Amino acid sequence: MKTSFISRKIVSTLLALSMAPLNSAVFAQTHRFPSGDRDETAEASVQLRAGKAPFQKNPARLQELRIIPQEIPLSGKGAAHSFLVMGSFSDGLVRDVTSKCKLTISHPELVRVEEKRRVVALSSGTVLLKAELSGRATTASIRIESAPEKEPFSFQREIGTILTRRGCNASECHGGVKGKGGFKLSLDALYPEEDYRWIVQGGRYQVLVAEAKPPVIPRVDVKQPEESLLLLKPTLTVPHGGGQRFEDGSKDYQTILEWVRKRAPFDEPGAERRRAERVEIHPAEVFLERGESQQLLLTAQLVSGRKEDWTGRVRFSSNNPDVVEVTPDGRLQARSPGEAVITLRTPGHVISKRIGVIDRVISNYPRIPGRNLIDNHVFAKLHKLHILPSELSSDSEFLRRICLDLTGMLPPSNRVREFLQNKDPQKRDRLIQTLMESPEYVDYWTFRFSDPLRVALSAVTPYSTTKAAQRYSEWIRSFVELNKAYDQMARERIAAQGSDGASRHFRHQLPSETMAEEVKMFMGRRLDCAQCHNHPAEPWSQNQFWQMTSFFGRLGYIFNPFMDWVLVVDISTGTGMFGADDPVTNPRTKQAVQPAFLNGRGLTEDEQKDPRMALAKWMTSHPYFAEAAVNRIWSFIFGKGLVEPVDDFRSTNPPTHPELLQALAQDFREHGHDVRHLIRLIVQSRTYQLSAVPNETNRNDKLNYSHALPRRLDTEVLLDAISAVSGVPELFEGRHRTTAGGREPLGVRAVQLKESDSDLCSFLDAYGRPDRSAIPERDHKPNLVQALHRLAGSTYTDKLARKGGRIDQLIQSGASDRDIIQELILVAFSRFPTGTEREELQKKIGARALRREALEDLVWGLINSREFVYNH
Amino acid sequence: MQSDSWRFTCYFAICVAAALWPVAGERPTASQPTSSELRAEPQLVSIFPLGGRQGSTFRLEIRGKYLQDVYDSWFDCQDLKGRIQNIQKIEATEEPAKKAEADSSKSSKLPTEYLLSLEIDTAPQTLLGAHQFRLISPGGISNALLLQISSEPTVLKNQKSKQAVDEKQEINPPAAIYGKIDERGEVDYYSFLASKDEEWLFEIRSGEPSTFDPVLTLYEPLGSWFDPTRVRRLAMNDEPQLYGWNAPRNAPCLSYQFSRSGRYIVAVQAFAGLTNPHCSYQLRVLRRADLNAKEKQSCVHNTDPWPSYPGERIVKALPAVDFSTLAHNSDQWKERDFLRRLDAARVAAISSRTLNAPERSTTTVMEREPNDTPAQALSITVPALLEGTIERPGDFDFYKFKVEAGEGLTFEIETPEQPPYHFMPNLVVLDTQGKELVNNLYRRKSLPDRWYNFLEPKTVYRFEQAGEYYVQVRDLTLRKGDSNFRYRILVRQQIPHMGEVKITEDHISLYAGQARRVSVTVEQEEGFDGDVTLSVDNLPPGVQLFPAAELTPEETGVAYEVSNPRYVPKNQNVTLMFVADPEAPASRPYTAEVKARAVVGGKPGELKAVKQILFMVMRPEEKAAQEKTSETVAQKK
Repeated sequence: MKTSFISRKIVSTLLALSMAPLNSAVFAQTHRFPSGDRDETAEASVQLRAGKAPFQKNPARLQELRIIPQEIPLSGKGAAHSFLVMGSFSDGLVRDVTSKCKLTISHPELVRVEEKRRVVALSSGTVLLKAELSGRATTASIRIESAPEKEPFSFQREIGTILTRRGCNASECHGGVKGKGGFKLSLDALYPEEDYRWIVQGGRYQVLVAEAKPPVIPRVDVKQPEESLLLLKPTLTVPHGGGQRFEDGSKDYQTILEWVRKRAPFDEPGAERRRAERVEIHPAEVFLERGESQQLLLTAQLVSGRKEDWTGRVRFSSNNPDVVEVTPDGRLQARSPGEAVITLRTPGHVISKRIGVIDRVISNYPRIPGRNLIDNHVFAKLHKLHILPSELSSDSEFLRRICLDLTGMLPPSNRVREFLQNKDPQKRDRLIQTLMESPEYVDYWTFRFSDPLRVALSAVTPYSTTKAAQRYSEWIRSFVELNKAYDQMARERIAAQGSDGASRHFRHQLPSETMAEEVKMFMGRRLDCAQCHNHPAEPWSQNQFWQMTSFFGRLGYIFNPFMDWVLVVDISTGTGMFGADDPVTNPRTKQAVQPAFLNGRGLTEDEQKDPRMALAKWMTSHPYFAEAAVNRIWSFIFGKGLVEPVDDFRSTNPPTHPELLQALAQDFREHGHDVRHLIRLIVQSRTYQLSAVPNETNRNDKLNYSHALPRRLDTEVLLDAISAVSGVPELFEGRHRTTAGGREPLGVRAVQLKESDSDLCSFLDAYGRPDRSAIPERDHKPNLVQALHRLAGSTYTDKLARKGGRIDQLIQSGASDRDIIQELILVAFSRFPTGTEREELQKKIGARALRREALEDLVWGLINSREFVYNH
Repeated sequence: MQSDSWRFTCYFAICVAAALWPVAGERPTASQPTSSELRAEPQLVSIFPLGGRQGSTFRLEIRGKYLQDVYDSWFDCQDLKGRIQNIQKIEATEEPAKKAEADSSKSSKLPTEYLLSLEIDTAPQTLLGAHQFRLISPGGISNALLLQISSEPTVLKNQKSKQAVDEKQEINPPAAIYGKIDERGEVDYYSFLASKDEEWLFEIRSGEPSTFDPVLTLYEPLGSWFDPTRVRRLAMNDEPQLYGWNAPRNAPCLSYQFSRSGRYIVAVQAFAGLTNPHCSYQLRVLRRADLNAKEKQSCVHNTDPWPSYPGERIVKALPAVDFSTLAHNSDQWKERDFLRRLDAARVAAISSRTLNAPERSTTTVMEREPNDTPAQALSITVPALLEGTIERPGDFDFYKFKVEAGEGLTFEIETPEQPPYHFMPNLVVLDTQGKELVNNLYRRKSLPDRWYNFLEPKTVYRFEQAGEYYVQVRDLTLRKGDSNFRYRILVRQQIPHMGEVKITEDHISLYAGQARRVSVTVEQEEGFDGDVTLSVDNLPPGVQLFPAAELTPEETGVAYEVSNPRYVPKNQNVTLMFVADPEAPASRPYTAEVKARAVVGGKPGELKAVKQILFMVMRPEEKAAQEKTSETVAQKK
């Protein structure tokens, strides 16, 4: 690369200018949606830019009080239930004012209030609890019922609760994959029968076999209950790696001691009715101002139908204590702006909640008109967080972004001029439609789906052939081009047979790997962890894993002697892909397992004829399916999912916008799993079309879509963009044993390459090809090889110097420097140059002796700028 | 002994004495020619164009090795005649890897390549389809290449169109277009006008099936917002329409029904851009409306369980010319082939290959729905020919039959409309408890940890228990089925018989005084344990046939393949030694015919034609004279 002093100056000028979209008004707003709704964002933004931030200066006024829960059930004398008093304030926030309220009871002889947050039953009857604050008042009814004299004992409820709340069965302790110190407990007491066995019978847990490893010594001593290890260890009476979990004589100690004294029973008849069927967190959503606190409440709906306060049975944890801290009894403390996930663990249930912390409250939050359901949910949350969304993107920003997101291509300069000059208020929607009907859309979205669906020669080893990979790619292309329903595509893939394109992905892996991949791809869940043991974080057992695997256990090959591939079928004789004659077995129990869905249901007689088709139908009709699909497609457009990673849905990884996710999934189902409809819905939203230029309130927001987040172009898209700007197409030559010596036709773009790994290309190597040997996660981190490639790589040198390229064409057309600068900036940035840019660049180029060299340096500067390399 | 009438009976006993005969390449005796005196057989590599029109004269360029002395051509029928026009040396076109290998080897040198120009006359009555042709030189007769004779007007590719769609060549179908893809990444575009609702048929035939895998793509030049010259893909296929030993390899084919009138583009390119100078092709483009009723009927759309592109159909075969067999082909016995006809004549034919005749005559049973479960099974009496259809995806057909204890049955399957691997007929025999006894999937271990299953058109089974059993038929994938998914299943008592007789050679060039060994494999079907005699008719004068010793190859490595007599017949191997007398005169190519006959209990069965082999005898001393002849030929041109 030419790195003369002057050229470097041109480059540095451009690099400075290229920060423009993030910090200046290069993109003046030029578009308004043709709706009658008043848009106050622009005015608010103007105020912000003028330093007149609309932050709240005076304290907010209390407007309304509410007690949670509105009906408090108490069962029997001594029963207790926590409550919250929430106040709605004039700034839109709902605050925990329980401790500030005056509390009164209509019949104090029936109920008393403890610690201003709990009611305790004294006798049966119905009572009103009244809360008063700042002239406002509210009530809740308390119903006290008589309770049976003796409730049946439940091991999970009584002992499991202690083990969970004290963290004994946490994943980092005995709830880990192998347990700790030879003692294994199920995570969060999910499998009480197993816990009971390890405690009462004793023995050391073994991962690969079901039998206990000696010495088999019970961890309770029914003859000398106080000598039980289950008491001696957590009280640190004997050495314990986990330290002291409770004190000798504490309530938990007494509970366990009493249980052992009663000869450590499991469940008494009727214990099942005391199991929690469903648990619920209160308040439903929490947005706190920095420094504020909030008590959480957990209620449980029992199998018997009764409701109970389970707040005291919970272990609380925060994934980000710098933002929100949580005390062992469930009190939140907001530390700094942002979001944290609070996880509540109670026997058999794990539940998580996102807690938002507001930086500064905005008074008179502006009205932001939404275009569709996406905006309704996104802007509602932004309002609650008191974050102002950025303004609507300029036409230039929008044009470049939409072209890249829908087609992976930069708009040609004539189209940029045409669009920027167009005054039609519907022009954005019209362009979206045009792009979605273009062949480039098909190319790009085939490429997009080729990542998670894994089209690569390396993904079809050891029988890898280009033919097989390309046949699979063609199947994906037909899905995109015909806009085949997403659920149909999934069924075709999961139940693929014969030599159909979809069947090509079955050729390379064990049935267990295939099953885990299908679940990851189409249900967004990582079942892999349950392969060797029960899932450490979710309620999926190892047996369920192998039952699901069993659907793929008879997947076999029919060898076709006439072609260079095999056919995939389910073979009734039980001859599996790897020659396993026996049905699939659970490797730990060594027991044969029959196919069963994740909900435990086995196959009907009719379904047994075609188990994989039954699985495909079950998976695609499961609620997980649509939410996983919309989350994945959302991530393609925004660069991150509502759940992230996109295939890691779990109770401890809640979505950033749960209601939006549900609404999108519902809409997706209602529209027949129509991918184009979903994409259109997303890109037509105001949320998508927000500017990348942040304001004072949303500068640090990375989660809530308050402004467009610049994303580095994917490697293939970047290479195509460079080819487009330079006017020199890339030539891709085969490098695999089945493609070596071949070459793609001239003009084939990088996103049109069917496999990710079959062609020689130093640029793709330097910037990273997706590793499709597993579902790839693209790595956009810069590295030294990229830096060197930018200086000396053929993409950045040969393409600029090549005869017949864009520079050549512009020079030969007789265009002036001014026109050439404009053309190059139009084609690279989809906008006209600013006056300063034009002036500066003209000066620099004019000062150079060799015009062509100066122009080459200019293009080099353009394609290395952030504005070019990022989609913003 | 006159060679024409010569007949030699060869029993499968080892004939040690015959092994003492010298073979080609061994140390010559005084009366034998030395290797330096011998010329190599001509080797044909590729031709361009791949064929021509019936009743026309066209020029053929043939690439190959050892062509410098070629003086004549040979065709499989009298309706084709060739005249040599020119022979010239050309640059080697070997693959780079092979070339590098040859370069690095001091001892070996790549033979010179030649381009031979041949003018071909085709008579108006020439049979349509693939014809074999060969070249003759003093070194002998060459391997055969195929020449496609079609009825459509011929169009030769305009050499300008190499890459860009705007360099497309206009054609006016129906047409047989002949082109070459000899540059990496090359795409040939042909433009034509089609009317709304017309269905068009497109087919590519590769001239070099082992290395040139053509891709057929149909486009509409609609442009796009980004690029006004962009073409939109309507349909694509890079797969052959038939799978089978007789089917043409690398011959993609499709049909398309146009939804509007306008100009369209059909493109030919090489899969993965892999090309070489031999990648010539024939592209046939014709309207379905141009076909006669019979042709239309035989042009079957393959079904796909999932929606495909609107208008696009992958068709089984273009009907105008059935390329699946040669225009002139000797009848060959197919023991295991899903396309062989199963009927009463089949049973008679099997019987004629042995002395075992079936005791009972075969009845035909037509399937009647519903017969989807064992309870609905149709009763049959063995032997029976079952004719049915897998009418829809997931369709099961059941039949029930009775057998005696120890009875051995044979199950043969034919798929007349949709051959594997479009239709994968799975036959399973179940007992009344639903236990599977027979499956036409042959499981075989191909690697220590890999198993393959082979779908077999025939399997045999001996029932230990007398009683009632069920035959279950379905498409193995459960994803396909329609009225084209017809099957015939012949359920019969086992008839031990002589199966296929396999000979690799199809031509033999022999110098006087030389011998040539030919291996023959005879398959013994259904427990056949008799003898088989072989004879060869119409050998050139001075050529005799002797039995030779069969060498038992040493076993090396681990054999993973497990043969199963239910699916794989036992083999008998024999070696024939063809010996040209030192005084044998030079000959024209003779079509010798190998015949076989089963012998059971000392009684010979019917004589069966097995294979035709082209034989030619050369004399080293006549080399000069022949060279002179070829020079004369060249001078005349």
